[in-house]
Amino acid sequence: MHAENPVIEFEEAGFSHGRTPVFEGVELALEPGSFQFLVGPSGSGKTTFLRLCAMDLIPTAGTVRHFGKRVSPRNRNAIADMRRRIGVVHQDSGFLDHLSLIDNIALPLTLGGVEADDRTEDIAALLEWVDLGDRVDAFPAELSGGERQRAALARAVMLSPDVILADEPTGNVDWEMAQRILTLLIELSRMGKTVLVATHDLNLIRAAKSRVQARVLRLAGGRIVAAGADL
Amino acid sequence: MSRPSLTARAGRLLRGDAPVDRLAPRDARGGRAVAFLAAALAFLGVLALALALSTGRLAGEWRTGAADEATVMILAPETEMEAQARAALDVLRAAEGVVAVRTVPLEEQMALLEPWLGAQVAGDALPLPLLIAVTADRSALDADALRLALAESAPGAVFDDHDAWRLPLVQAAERMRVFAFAALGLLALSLAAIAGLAAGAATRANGPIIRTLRQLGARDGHIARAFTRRQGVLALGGALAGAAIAFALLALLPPASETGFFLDAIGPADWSDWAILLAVPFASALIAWASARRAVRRGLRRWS
Repeated sequence: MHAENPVIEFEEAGFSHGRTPVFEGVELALEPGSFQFLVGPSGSGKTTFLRLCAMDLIPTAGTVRHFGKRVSPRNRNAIADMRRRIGVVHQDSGFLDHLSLIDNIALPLTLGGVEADDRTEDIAALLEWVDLGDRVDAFPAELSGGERQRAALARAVMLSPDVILADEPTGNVDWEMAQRILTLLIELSRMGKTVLVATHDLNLIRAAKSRVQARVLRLAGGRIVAAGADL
Repeated sequence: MSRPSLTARAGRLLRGDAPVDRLAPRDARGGRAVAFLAAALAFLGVLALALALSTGRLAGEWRTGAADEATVMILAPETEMEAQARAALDVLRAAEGVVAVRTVPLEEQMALLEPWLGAQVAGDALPLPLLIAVTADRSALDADALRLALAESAPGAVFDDHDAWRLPLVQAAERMRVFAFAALGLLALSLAAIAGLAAGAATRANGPIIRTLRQLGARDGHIARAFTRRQGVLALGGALAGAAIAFALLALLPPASETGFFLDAIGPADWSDWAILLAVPFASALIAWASARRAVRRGLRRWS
């Protein structure tokens, strides 16, 4: 049975690369304010799953609804507008190398037609929140792995989205930095945001479960199942 | 999101929108090659359009103005010349569609011949026919009936309505106008193709940036604006420069003479012609920008 008013809902959804299925028959609902980890071996389709959640891919079978709506891939403006309600932290950060950090962080405002000058204080507060207040003029190439991940998180929440999707957000950072990023994600969850984190770092999940009520989903063999007590 | 008005969009296009403009790397926005090309094509476009306007005007003048003029030559022995001339004048005055007739004095005939034969040729040395100038209303004139009536009353009278030389000239002018417009069309197509290719290449080369922008919620129009606005502005600058050179050349041409001599009439005849020519650089920039925008928007479909 599906939760009431899920922000993202999979109904018998599947995705195939050509004739090779990545997963199939997925039934899943992400409830508002919930915290999920998505685990699975490399190549199991975690990134593909997140891309479906981010409307970056469309399912080859079944249906994926966002905020209760199924948007046609032809309605590109509607997809763009809906994406502003979804913040994504990419594995590769996805920064524009020719822009400074502050311009990269303000990108969602620019694309949303909001004057960044009117939100200077918000941007400054956000950079302080991710502890990058002194790096505003740096360019992406000048940032460390941890700084890039925190900056990506800041950009993802710039428009206060309803959902945060993070693809291996602690993949390139040490344990201390991983803890800081996890804390930021938990803070977002406590603000009512729905958080879905794809990771292979089981220690991170264990650390999180002591601080937040998190559901762990395992992607394996083309199916998504709730993980057992081993986590 | 409400759609801004056309005026607001045009203003933003020309004024620029710094945050949006910065989305595309400076070297990815293309434009310099397009600006140079827009200059060359606007230069040629102004000349082609000037040719089209002037040949159209000439064709019109030759079709209507000269059509009202005709002549009657009296080729008769000296002793019968005056009698036949009188008879021809009577027939002409009575003919329907003939508005005015007058005998062309010998001095006026010599003045007409002077540019071809020189001033030293004396009137007596050249056997000239008696010439009657006729002003006619072509819609009411029956030229064949008039020829028959003249042949009956004045056998030496030859009616010439100038159609033999006028109609081929009208046709030639009209063909030249078609060629000029065809050239203008080809220039526009060339500019559109090159601006589109440049913008398409920039889009392909910046796939990762476009993917990031789409994922952050950028609408296609936003991305297209970032990648094409500067190209449109540079194309406008280039086209204005090219058109300015063409205007200078046209201004140096001698003014169109009242004789309608072809080479005198290539340049713009009046301010309305200049105003039409002034549209060329703006149309060039619009074509370059619209083509680039179409290419970018088409290229964006590769990214979800």
